[in-house]
Amino acid sequence: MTILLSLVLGVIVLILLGLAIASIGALLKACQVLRKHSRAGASLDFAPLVRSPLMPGVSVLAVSSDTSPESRAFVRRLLALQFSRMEVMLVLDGLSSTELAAWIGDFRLVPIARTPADDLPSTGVRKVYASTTEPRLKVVARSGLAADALKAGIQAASFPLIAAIGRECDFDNQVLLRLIIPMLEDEGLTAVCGAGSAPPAGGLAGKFGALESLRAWMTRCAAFSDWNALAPTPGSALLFRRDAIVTGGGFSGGMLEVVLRLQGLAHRDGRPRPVVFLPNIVKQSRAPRSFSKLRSRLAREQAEIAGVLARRESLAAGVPAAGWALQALFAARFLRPLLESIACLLAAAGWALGWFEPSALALVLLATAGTGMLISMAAVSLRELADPSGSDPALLARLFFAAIPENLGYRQLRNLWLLLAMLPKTERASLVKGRPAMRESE
Amino acid sequence: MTGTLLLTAVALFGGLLLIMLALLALAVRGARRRQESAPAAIPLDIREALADYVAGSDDLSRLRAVVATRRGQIAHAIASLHQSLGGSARDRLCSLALEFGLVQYWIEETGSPYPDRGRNAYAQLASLSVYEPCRRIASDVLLKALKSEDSEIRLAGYRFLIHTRAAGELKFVLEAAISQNLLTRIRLTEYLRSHATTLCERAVPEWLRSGDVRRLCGILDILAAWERAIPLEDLDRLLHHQDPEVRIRALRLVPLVPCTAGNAAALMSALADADPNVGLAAAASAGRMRLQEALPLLARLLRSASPEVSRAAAAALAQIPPRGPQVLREISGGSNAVAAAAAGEALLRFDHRGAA
Repeated sequence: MTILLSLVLGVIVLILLGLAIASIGALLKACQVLRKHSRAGASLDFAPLVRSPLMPGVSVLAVSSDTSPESRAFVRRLLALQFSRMEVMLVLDGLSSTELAAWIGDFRLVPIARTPADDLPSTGVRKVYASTTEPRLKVVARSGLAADALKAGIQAASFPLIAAIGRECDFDNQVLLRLIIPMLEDEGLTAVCGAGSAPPAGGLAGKFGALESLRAWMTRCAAFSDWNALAPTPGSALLFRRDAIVTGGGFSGGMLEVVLRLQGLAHRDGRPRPVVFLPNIVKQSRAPRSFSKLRSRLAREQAEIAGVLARRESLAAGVPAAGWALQALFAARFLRPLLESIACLLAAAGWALGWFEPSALALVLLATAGTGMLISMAAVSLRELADPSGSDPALLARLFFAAIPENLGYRQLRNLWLLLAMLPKTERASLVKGRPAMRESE
Repeated sequence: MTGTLLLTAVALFGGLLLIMLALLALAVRGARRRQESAPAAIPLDIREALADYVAGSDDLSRLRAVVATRRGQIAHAIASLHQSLGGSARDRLCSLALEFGLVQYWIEETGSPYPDRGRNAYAQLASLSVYEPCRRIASDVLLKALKSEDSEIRLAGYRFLIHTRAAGELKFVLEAAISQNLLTRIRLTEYLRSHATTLCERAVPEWLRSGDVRRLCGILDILAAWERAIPLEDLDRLLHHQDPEVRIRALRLVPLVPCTAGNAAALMSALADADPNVGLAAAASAGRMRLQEALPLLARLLRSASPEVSRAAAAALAQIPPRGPQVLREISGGSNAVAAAAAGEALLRFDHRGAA
């Protein structure tokens, strides 16, 4: 029994070490990519672009399922973007008539006759509105599957380019001009993804959130982009060609799925670099200060990844590039938390019951918390070396040393949060509230 | 066995931790150095001295005193100020750059191994080349830039040629604008805007006689993007071109060229064109020109075309008061649902514009 358990533990530790080496490798790759970008960058005079009628039009998508002041402020920020030919296509998803009336009153919306393009399947659009106070605003009121909300926006969009800016994105009003430049340089490009990491907030939760965001940004965006497997993090800003989405048959998820699908399709068609990554043109909004908000942010991100993994068949069949990114996401967001949790439990129980020597427990700690520390520390240092962002040296050091408490307690808790967030909603509710899972369906 | 493994792992971990600490030390040192050397803003004394100089003062003593030690800051200040100046003030600033050796400094910078610094130097030289003495000194470098593989550097070369104002050079740049990527085309179009009249004398008419549809579309796009009155006489032929893409682009130019009977007639016939995109472009131009005689055709287009063309026709009618909005009011109460909705939408916008 002890031998068998030792063997299992040994295998888990080896897998964890392998995953850690892969993470460090990805960070080194990210360092190389960021360095290349920071050296090639040049400031551009946007004035000719702002007023030129030659600029292609862009429809900026936004989805809202509520009437909160934050949602309305977000739409107003989008309307303030600098761009000559632009519309904001707001999808109001599943709102009641009272909630819809609030939007109608706020933006003076009037119904317009708009026949949505028939190149994408029907998406439950009830009515299309235009604003009499904001000429650049169009609103689609719809009900139906929440996953189809973005598709409804794309269907009603008037322009050939579609932009999607995440709610968790911290952007300035020139972001569209920055995003479009690679597309103006290369008219064969399918999409551009701008992403940045979250600046740290006060407190440990704020620093852990910033480390989390930094690691994800460096690996999923910077490193993966060089392997044509870019997997945008929340808070990214994306610009893509509408016809590329239509050719791909639409999609039923978020932006992560769109980008993976586009890269997969380009790989299948033999196109060399379909998606370009632009670091630092936007930032992810500041890391949350409380652990409960940090957990919600993680859960939202994990739910999006779980959704893409659930629909992996439609992505991965014949499109290995998208499949490769998915495997990496699966390993980082599900396999590693699962193996680490098992290893910690097994080692602790084995040590308490006298099956293992204390050195086995120490070995497991090194393979989990120890490697975690090294990865976070490497992310902080390599990012600053590759892409000097004008950081405050004291803040940089604080973030570096926050990797120690991050991996001694928080990491183990985070693993459980990630695993819980991967469960289907009904099972998760029953585990959290102690109710039987069947109750939801009954 | 586990003990030996643990010892090895601890040693490895310790070694890697030391490497991480060394990397942190490097990163912190770099961040501190950048913090200290960052030119956060142009120092006030330099800004004031430059402002006085371009305003007409000949007192350069303050700037001369610091030019040897703070040349980077002065170069940065001149580059920022240059963009917002014109005429004799700009020439004074260019002559100052020349006097302080900044033109030579930027010429040397073009050979920098750092691409961003090289591009910036080319851009500064291109800006300064608006002043003939600077242009003479930088001409060799900027002519070489035209052969660069970097489109940003090539752009500096084109800007240099535009500053020469010679018809042949302008023609060369316009030719390049058509053949380059969209980013370069958009920027060159803007830089060429003030030379539209010179180009429309010979170069543009020659190209408009070309049979190459792609080139024709490219040049028509640039002409429309100038959005200024252009002295073109023979647009009539292009308004009847067999390729609808050429007709669409030519129609967009109609409000910008002298209004001739031929153009007006071609515009009217385009309102009844079988291609909906041609109708759409014709409606937009008719609205922009406020062509009263187009009202019946626009009303017919509003009632009989696709929703998209209906909306364009309705928007055009809203631009032709007082009769246009009256027609829209009549149609908005009619039985044709698509036309009524398009008319209603255009009226709403028209009323909102009036209220504003």
